Amino acid sequence: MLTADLVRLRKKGDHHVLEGLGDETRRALLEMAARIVDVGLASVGRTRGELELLRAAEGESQREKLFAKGLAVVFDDASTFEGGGGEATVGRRLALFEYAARRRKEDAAGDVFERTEVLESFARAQGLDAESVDRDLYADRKREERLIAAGFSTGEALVARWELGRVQAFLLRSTAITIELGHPEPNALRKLLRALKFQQLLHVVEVNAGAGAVIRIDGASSLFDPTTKYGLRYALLVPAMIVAGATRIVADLKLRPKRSFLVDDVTLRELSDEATRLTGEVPARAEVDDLLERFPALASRWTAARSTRLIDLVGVTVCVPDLEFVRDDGLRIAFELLGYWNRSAAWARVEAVEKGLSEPVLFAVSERLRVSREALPKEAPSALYVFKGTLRPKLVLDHLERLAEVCDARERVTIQTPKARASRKRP
Amino acid sequence: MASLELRFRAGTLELRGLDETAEAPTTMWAWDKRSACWRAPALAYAATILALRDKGLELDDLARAYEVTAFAEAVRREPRPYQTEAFVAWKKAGRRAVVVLPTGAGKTHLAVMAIADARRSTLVLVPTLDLLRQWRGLLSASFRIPIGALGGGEHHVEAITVSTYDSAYAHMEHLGARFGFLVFDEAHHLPSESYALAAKQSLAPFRLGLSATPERSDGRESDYPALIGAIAYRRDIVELSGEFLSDYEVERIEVDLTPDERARYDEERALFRDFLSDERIPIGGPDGWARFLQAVSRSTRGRRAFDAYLVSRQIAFAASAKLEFLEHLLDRHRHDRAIVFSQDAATTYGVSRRFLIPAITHETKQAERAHILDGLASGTFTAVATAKVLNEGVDVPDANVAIVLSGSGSVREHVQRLGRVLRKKDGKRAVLYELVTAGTAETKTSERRREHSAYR
Repeated sequence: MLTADLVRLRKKGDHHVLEGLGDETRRALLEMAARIVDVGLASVGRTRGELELLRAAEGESQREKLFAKGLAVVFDDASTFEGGGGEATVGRRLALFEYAARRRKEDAAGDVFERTEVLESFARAQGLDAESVDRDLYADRKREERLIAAGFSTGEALVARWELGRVQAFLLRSTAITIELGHPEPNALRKLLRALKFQQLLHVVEVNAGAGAVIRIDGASSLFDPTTKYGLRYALLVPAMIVAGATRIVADLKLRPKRSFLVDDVTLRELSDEATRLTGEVPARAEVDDLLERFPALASRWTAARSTRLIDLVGVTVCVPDLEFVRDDGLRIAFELLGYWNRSAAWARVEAVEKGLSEPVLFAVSERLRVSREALPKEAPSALYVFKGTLRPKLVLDHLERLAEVCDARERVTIQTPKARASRKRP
Repeated sequence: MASLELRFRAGTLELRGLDETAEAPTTMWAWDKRSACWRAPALAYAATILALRDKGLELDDLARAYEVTAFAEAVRREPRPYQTEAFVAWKKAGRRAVVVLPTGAGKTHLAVMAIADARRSTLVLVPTLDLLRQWRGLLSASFRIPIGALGGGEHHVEAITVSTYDSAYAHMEHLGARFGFLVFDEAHHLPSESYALAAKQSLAPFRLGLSATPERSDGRESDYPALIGAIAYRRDIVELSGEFLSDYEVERIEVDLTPDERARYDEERALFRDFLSDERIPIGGPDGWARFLQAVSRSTRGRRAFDAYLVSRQIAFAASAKLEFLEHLLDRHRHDRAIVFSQDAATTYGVSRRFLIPAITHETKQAERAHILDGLASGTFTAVATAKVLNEGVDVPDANVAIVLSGSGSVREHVQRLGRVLRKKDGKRAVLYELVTAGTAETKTSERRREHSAYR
């Protein structure tokens, strides 16, 4: 992975941002990347050390040399190398050293140790030539590994990965990160939240009043000392953050004076193709697509659309609704399909509703999770739709109507302010 | 009153059943809004249990996952008097302390005594793979049970496990509840930011730090009391030399650069010094090096100054006269066991190639390392070249010659290098040669690293 010493930053207000490239620099960078790829493609079978020599002339200024070094690291990371020699090399080397030690002990004090003669007589005894024994003495070292397959075939692809790597390089050194999400892609965001859990990272979500949210991510030990321990995990999650709809990433760096590393929305948009390539397509939820397609046929007062909102489940977790149902008078009810494997997620939502979840949500839970719809009382402003097999539009509508009754009843007993009425009508 | 629930999570402790407004069990605890519970570093475990007990609170301890088990010593060795004193001091300190003994004084034997006494699943942390291999062999022979290993591609956890500091840092958030006793070998490595986290992410109540050189140039030895325990016992090389360690002598040899080397050295050094002077950077000051590196990144001239520094250093480190004198030393000691230390892997491989002696660096795989060290012990090899990986701990009882071709200004490194050849053996007299290039910055580096009683 690209490391921070291979990337240049500039100051912008209280932040560090990636050095801008500009058209001319970008052109030069692409040309350099194309040369590095060409050298790589033509060097299959050569050692890392030889590749290094072949690239040594790349870049004149310090800045260009840094580009060349970084591109080479990214190229090598994606390429396949194979160790040279293996055990045979180690065995021959140790045998030579044993032989040399014996010869040295046999010498009289003050005799000159004849390296060339020792090498030749050892090689003769082994049926080898002295030159190859000498040359291949440390053929198993990393710099002697040979290139088997090049990781890139075009300069453009190499630069795209290098640009993503620049962001990752600084997250490697960061102690905590904050992601701003404008209009999150629900499936990709869920995947990101699952990845956070898998990586044992903790997060706090602040849901914005309008749309989107801010997610603060760090590790369990970060509560006591800022630590770079989790930097690699943050860096590995960069593609997933971008695909989930991150519009801004702020990484806390351990610097004095205190500064953060900022990646803005323009940069993140530019990286989205490469991020998607690395994460792979996020699989769509076929059940949700099917519901969305079949629901209008019911000809009800409700319309369904994909959601791009997040709902704060009152400190328990965050809900990423799949759909948003809107009644003709403006009443909105979010719809979330829970995964088939996580029973505790269903209980977390029940707990959130009990704690006073502010807006109505219909949680669709497979019966395989063994959660009863009675886990939430009928008068609760959110509901569990426990389904068997597939989502049925008619049953979804029934739940929506019942939830709407609860919401309407609650509204009747609440003294409505003009502002509250207005927000209800907002499309 | 509902009981409290204590769990180990990712290197920390989570306490549930106590609301946000309640009084924290100890000062190490903080309310964590990310998961709506109280949280503390795992290190707080012992103090927390005692504090909750004092308050009479009922606790469901789901955190602790280590075994209480007796480890019978299969081989009983009579401890030396100072080992017994150190053991008693550690116990008196609540089984949380650092013991300072010189290399070769038998720190591992003290650890074996402590492991048998603690009767808890034990994790031994070591800085290098060679030490991991050595400790594993010793513990296996001492207790005749399988010994686990973390590091060098192995991940095998047993009731007694040896881990490198790097692997402990990587895995403690998963394994921190499984050991009740931590032994920190070469404990002076621990107070670095990352390794200290490994100590904080373990809930082990019992801890023992072992070091010959506990002082650090950054002053972070002050972290020992929190991470391990305070220094409870200390003996230095000069106190044990002769009776418990080999007699030794130290010889400093100055060599000159060739005229060509001198011209290039002076040219590069001038570039470096002029830059420091223009930028007003006192390189010898406490943050001089950090300021130099900051300045380097700001200008082309700075980067040229950095290159000049590297070139001049390399000329001094690998002066041709040094290598010629090394030839002479290898000849003089062709029936001894010599370790040739240099500052970097490139020089080490250069020495290995030129003199056809084996090399051990960070790249050397475990099987080859073992073969080389066994060969040095048996006399198959009479010399081995190395950079830093043999600086510490590795037991080569027969090694009696240390040749320092190049090194840093660290007193600790220099004392550790001397320590490699001090293990007591009948009739053994150890010698350390230090090769220094006259009229270069290396002479000052040498003076700095010799500021220890062992060199007076």
